[in-house]
Amino acid sequence: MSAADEARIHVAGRGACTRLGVGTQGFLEAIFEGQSALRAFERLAGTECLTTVAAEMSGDVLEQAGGEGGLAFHLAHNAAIEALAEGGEPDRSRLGLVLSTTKGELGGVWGPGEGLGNPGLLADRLARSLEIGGARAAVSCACASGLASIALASRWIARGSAERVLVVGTDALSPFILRGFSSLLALDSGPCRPFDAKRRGLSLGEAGGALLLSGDPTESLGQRVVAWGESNDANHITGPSRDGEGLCLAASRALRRAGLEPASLDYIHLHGTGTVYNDTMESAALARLFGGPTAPASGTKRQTGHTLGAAGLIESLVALEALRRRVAPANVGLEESGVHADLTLLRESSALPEHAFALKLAAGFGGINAAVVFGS
Amino acid sequence: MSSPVRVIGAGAIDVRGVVGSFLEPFEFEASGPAGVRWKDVFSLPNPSFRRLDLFGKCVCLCAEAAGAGRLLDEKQRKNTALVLASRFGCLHSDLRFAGSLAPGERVEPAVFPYTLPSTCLGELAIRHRFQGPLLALISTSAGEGPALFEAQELVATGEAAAALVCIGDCLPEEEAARIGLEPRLALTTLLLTGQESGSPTLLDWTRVREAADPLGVVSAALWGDER
Repeated sequence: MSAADEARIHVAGRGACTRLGVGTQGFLEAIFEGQSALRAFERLAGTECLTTVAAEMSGDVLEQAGGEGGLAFHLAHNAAIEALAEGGEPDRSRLGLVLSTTKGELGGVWGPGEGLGNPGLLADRLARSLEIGGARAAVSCACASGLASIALASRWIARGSAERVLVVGTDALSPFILRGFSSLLALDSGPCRPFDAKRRGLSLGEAGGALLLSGDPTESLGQRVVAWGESNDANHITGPSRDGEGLCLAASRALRRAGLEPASLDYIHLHGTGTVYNDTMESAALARLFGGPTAPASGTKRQTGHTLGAAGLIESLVALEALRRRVAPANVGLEESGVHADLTLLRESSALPEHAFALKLAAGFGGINAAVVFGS
Repeated sequence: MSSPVRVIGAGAIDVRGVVGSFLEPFEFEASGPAGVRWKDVFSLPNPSFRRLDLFGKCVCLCAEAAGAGRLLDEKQRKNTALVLASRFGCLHSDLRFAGSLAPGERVEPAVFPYTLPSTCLGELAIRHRFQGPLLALISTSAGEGPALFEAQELVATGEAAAALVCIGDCLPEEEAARIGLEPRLALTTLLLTGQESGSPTLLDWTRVREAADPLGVVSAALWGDER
């Protein structure tokens, strides 16, 4: 499959349901204005863990969702509806659906409900609710689920298995998730500080995000999925490789598939969790990839929290918006870089050319790495 | 026209035990796979096996029985894809971790990473230095068709040099009863490569792919029965 073939994968619709904004426009405005959704616990107050900060959805969204147990579905559904509307309401009977989530709905495992932490159940519910009749899959690849889902949907379109695929990412917070990360000592006690010398860990968030991908260029919003690449560190279950070899491999595979050199990249949207090891690894991976100073780069988890299965989707929305606006956003909250000096961390927003390429990265437990190249 | 991929290894686990193209049938005792030591099955020590959750143990046993550690050279391992299809995935570990959060219990940090269904594939990657794409698909119905197809396409398009596909579930009786489900122990692994691979063909891929019950074909071939 050539890069020219894969250039047929167009972004036709977008959706977002986040604390920074219910709706893509509000979400992206807030991101580019430098706002942050991280704040003191509301419904999660009293959860026994190492932090009291997260990006929780507001009380009115929680009420619409019918409580925490229904939140993952509600976030996914809202984002999906918006993406379908922007995409001109395509024929849903033949539409493909790829759901990205780490845990789906936890009811039955944690609290009342029947979700059982099973992504397949949530995908079925979403497909039924939206009357989506095409192929569907539920992808649970840890924190790389979102990009793995975009890659899977892109493969379906590239090989002609589907004309259009709706990719939806979602995850909701619960004491199960918070205490899990806390037990691994992975949380910053305050708002996370990705790539900063004083970073101590991540902050969690919850969100829904969606992308409608299409093989029809007449449906394009102006940006496309150019290529993807995936790899495994084969190193440690929870810790990334120290030298960044695995993430570099995923990015190299994406660039090779795209027929691009690292120097062709205009912007990198980083995974940037704020943990000491992730950010060190990511900067080492990019220094290795570029062999010197990298393209301008920024991450947005300081603004959204780490939204797990939704992260790849909502962060891809940011990367695509950077291409559309021709502006790369800054790293909010970054004071002093604490990672490899070759990583060019944006301290202010920066202009991008009219026709540009952006690299989006993700990594997760199990050593999973994923990279997607977007183009305008 | 020849198939785009070949099956060079296979393994299966069910209530009887574990079997594979590189393992004579090993029968479980009454405790099932939970009580199995690596050394009992493969006659070699493997200290890290103990720390795995039950699903991870089953996946690793089944993969080893399929020849995951023997059939691929270093170059192939560098780009071996791992594909999982499961209905219940890591539900066993989900319940265990949730239980550890109950009042009066001690939180089990070591269990939390296993509340992701993809973690078992990470364990396989670490053991065999598999550095290709990784895809964990969770479905509520038989997921073998899509998983086999995705694995086939990863190899056929050259995106991966080989693919190890793991399909099935490991949900013990006690946990199943807690949430009103039927217990299930059935896991199959297939190791796929392209036509150019030097390893001999174990099973005809077209026959497996086109069977009404692909996993039944594999299991019957390994156990020597026609269930």
